[in-house]
Amino acid sequence: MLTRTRTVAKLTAVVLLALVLQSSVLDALRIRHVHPDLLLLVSVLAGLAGGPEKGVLVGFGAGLLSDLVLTTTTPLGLSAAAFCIAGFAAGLLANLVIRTTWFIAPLVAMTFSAVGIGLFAGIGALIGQQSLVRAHLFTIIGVVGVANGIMSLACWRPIVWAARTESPLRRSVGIR
Amino acid sequence: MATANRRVVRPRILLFLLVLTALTLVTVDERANGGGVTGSIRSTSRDIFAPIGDAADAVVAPIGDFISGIVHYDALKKENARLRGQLDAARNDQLAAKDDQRRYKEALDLLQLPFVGDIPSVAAQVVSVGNSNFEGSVEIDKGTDDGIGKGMPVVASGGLVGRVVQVSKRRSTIQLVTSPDSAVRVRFAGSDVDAPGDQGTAKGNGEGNPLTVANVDVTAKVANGDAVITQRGRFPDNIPVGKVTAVAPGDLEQQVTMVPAVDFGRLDLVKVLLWVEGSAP
Repeated sequence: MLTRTRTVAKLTAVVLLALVLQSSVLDALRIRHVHPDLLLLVSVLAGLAGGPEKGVLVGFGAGLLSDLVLTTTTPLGLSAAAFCIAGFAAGLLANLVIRTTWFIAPLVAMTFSAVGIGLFAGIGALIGQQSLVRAHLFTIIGVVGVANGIMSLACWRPIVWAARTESPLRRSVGIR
Repeated sequence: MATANRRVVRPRILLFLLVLTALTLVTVDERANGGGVTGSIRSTSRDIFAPIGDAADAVVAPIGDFISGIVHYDALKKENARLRGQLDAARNDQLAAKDDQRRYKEALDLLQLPFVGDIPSVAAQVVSVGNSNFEGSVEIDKGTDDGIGKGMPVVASGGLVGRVVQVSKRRSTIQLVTSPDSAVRVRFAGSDVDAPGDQGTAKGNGEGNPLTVANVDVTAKVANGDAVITQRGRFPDNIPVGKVTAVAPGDLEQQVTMVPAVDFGRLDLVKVLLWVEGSAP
C-alpha cells in the first residue's frame, strides 16, 4: 500500500514537472513552428516502464492536465483520450520486448508519440474539429515524434524511478 | 493463472473506462461550447497555474533563450547581418524618411483608417505563445478582472491580432488571425464599404503561413499590394488585417492570398478592444 502511494506521488510529481517544463522551456524550442510534447512523452514512457496500466493512468492524467492548462479551443478530454491510448499501447509493447537493445526506449517513444498526435487529430476530426486534420499535421507528427524520441534519452531514467517496476523492458535496457 | 489473467484484463478495463470518461468530457465540453462547468474548471485551472507558470518562466527563461539561440543560430546570424545593413541604410535616408512619414500620414488620413478610434481598450502583455501545436493562440496577462470578455477584438501596432476565445480572471487566450479556426470578414481598402463583391473572409492557414481570402467575387477589383481591412461584423470596421500578395482568377471566385499586418513572431504588447459584436462600428 505504501509502495503504491509512493509510486503515485512520484508519477504525479513527474507529470507536474513535465507540465511546468512544457509551458516554460519547450515553448521556445520550435522546429517549423512545432514544439515537442513532453506530457505525451511522459505518458508513453510511463507505459513502457510501468506496463499498460500505468500508461493508461499517467496518460489520462497528463492529457487532462494538458487540456485544462495548455489547450483552449480543443475540447476538454481530447488529449486525455489520445494520451491514455498511446500510453496503453506502449505498455503492451513493453511486455512483448524480448531482446536487449539500448534504442528501444527512444524508438518506441518516437513511434507512440507520433501515434498519440495522430490519435489526437483523428479523434478530434471525428467529433467535428476538422481543422486538426490538415497538411501541417504530418509536420507536427514528424517533429513531435523525432523530438520526443531524442528527449526520451534524458527522460527515461526519471520515469523508471517514478514508475518503479520490474517490467521486462526495464531489465532489457539495463536499468538496475 | 488468475493473477496473469488479471494483469491482462485489468488494464483493458481501465483503458475502456478512462477513454469513456475522456469522451464524455469531450461531449460535455463541446455542448457547452467552451462555457458551462467544463469552461469554469478550465478557467480556474489556468488561474491556479498562472503564478506557477510565471515563476517557472522567470527561472527558466535564460534556458529557453539559450535553446532557442542554438536551434535558430543560423537564422539569428542572418537576421543580425540584415539588421546591420538596414541600420546603415536608415542612417543615410534619415532626411528623406521624415518627408515620407509626413506623406504617409496624409495618405492614411485620406484613406480614412481610424483604426481604434474612440473604442475603449486595455493594454496587455503576451505571456505565453501557443502551448498547443494545433492551436494558433497566445495568452495575455489580463482577464475578466480587467473588463475583458469573450469575443473581444485584439490589436497590436500593425493591425488585427485576433480575438479573445477564452478568459479567466487573470488570463485571456487570443485566437490569432493565422489560426486555421479563424475567419475574419474583410474588404479591400479603397473599395465601397457597401459593395458586397469587394468583400471576403480571411482564413488562417497556421503559424508562418499566409492567409487565404475566400468568397471574393470574380468582379471584385483586387490587386497585389492592396491593403485588407476588417468589415463590420465580429470586428469593428477598418482595422488593418494585412496586405494582398497574390490574386489568381477562378471560375466562381478569385483566389486571394495575403500576409498579416502584424509580425506574430515578435508579438509582445497588445490592446484588447472593449467592444462586442453589435456595438457601434
